Amino acid sequence: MSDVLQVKNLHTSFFTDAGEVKAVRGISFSLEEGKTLGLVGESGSGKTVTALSIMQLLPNCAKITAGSILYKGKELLKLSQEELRNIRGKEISMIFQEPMTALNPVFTIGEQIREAIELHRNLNKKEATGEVIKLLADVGIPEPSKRIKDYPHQLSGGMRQRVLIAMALASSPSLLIADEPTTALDVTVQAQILELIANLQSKTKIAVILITHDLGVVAEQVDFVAVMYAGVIVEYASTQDLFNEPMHPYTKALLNSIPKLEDKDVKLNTLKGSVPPLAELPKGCIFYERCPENNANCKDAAPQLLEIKKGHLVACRK
Amino acid sequence: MPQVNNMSELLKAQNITKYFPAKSGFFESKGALIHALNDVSFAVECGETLGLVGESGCGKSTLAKIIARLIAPTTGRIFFEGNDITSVNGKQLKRIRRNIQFVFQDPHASLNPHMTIGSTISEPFVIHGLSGAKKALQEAERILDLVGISKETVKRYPHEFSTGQRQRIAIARALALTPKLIIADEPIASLDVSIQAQILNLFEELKEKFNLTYLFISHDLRVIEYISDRVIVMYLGKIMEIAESRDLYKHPIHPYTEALLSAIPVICTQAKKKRIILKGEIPGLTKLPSGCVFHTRCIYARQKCIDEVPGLTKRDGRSFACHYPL
Repeated sequence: MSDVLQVKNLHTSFFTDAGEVKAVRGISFSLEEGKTLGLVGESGSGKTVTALSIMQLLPNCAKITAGSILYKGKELLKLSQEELRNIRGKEISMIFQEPMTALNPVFTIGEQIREAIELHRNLNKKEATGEVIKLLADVGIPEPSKRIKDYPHQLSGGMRQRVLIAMALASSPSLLIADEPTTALDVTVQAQILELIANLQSKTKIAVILITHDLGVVAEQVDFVAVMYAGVIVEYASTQDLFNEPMHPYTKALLNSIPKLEDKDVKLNTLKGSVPPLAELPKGCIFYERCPENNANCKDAAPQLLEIKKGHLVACRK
Repeated sequence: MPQVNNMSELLKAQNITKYFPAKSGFFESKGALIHALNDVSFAVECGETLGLVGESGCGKSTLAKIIARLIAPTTGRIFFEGNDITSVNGKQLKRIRRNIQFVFQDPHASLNPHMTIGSTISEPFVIHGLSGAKKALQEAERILDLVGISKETVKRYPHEFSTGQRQRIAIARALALTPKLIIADEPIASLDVSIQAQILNLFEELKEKFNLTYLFISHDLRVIEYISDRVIVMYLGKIMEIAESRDLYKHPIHPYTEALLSAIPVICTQAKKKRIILKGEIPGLTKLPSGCVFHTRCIYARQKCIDEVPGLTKRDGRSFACHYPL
């Protein structure tokens, strides 16, 4: 199978007044056509920075310091701004968490989606408008020919997220990066949006990177999962393997800290403390301080991400 | 399990209705009302954890604020330990405040950034005239210890703590005067999962230690099931269903509860359950649907649901507002 995306040994740092903060420290993964990869982790684990690195939309103070990002075999890190613009939005699109701030409040949604189409496809205004209506219908917005004249504030959160998805799909990209697309939504609307993404995916064979902190969403929606902690991937496996047989203590702890729907009398297992500040990371395993299974070995050297079983990678000495 | 018994009722809300005037502007005609709560009645039993669940805009927070006497209801009455507290004020209200405390969602906003955490927690003692400033500070240290914050930190300011720690401090503040009822409005929504679990456990521990009663508000059904003895499900300012937690999750009676439960993403890679995807959007609160407020999205809705408002029916110890219960 051909990989749509290959990320190899990616390092991204923020250069602040207080010194270099290594937000992403050597992560690698690849993604095939039509598949979904889930990036899970708590705040500050580097999920969003990974996404922004792929899109090269990092803020000025951040820099990719090492590694490579291959899109269909092409090195994205060596492209000029001009070439990047042709890929960004056309080949690789992104949807963001907060659909209110991601849309421009002073343009109608029709104008905003049409702009995306006109930038990347050779259509005249009338054809483009027709295309907008078709896209809005595809993402399940009722009466799309009327709705194109609406401004973002006239739509609900779920509708706005649909508009963003329509915009992201405007130029039929091969890779969609969805950064917490349902976090700001209610659970019944979340179900609608997740179903929409899954349906679109089966129709268009688009590859999806889904960033989320909700393990339930991951279990239902994705094919492979990368669990991130403090800027590294600590475990990578197919969804089935990960949930049936979690190997890294952090993954296990995350799974245990979610209240289950069946056994309510069990006390939640919790992790001690919280994610260490990225500016002062320990030398050994980054999870050492909080790990319930740690031993003296863990303190000295950082564990490598190794294949324990076929397709199941874990960064833990045990 | 708590019994329905007047003696053990800590708090009772009777026919609470709350309308807010809608802002007049381009899209709202003048005089339109937002129907935030419509005829809500329920009771909180001593020592129980009552969960309040529903989507945004269903009136959870408005209800909590009314019960805590932070805002006044349009109509309806609130009873605390059998006494009508709907319109008490002055000294009496102060006494009520001691017994009903609030934990808010965002501990960045609910702690005063200019006050050390020691003074935040000791202030209630001074306000209620229970002790002098010096003794209050010792009390604060004791309470901080209970919520797992080192007492050496009393002189620090909120910004020096992580979000999870701040929520612990907010809980310590609510706990300071050993209230009878704690209303927690989405207390863990802004926290990471591993921290959420820590705070949930803390709530449970404190409940046992101080024999507390909780009204626990969340949009997260997994959290509500975990922590609650009984659950109230709300939709568009109305109660849809009240039941013991385990009954509700095993066998929802109201179609809205069923849809809510089926929408929770579950961690189970084998059997995929049947998911009910609700059609359409939550209607606006200025123009509520006729009849049953849920009929516009209900997959079982029939003509009667459009015409008649279902009352809250009691059966087998649970209540539901539906013409055609499941």
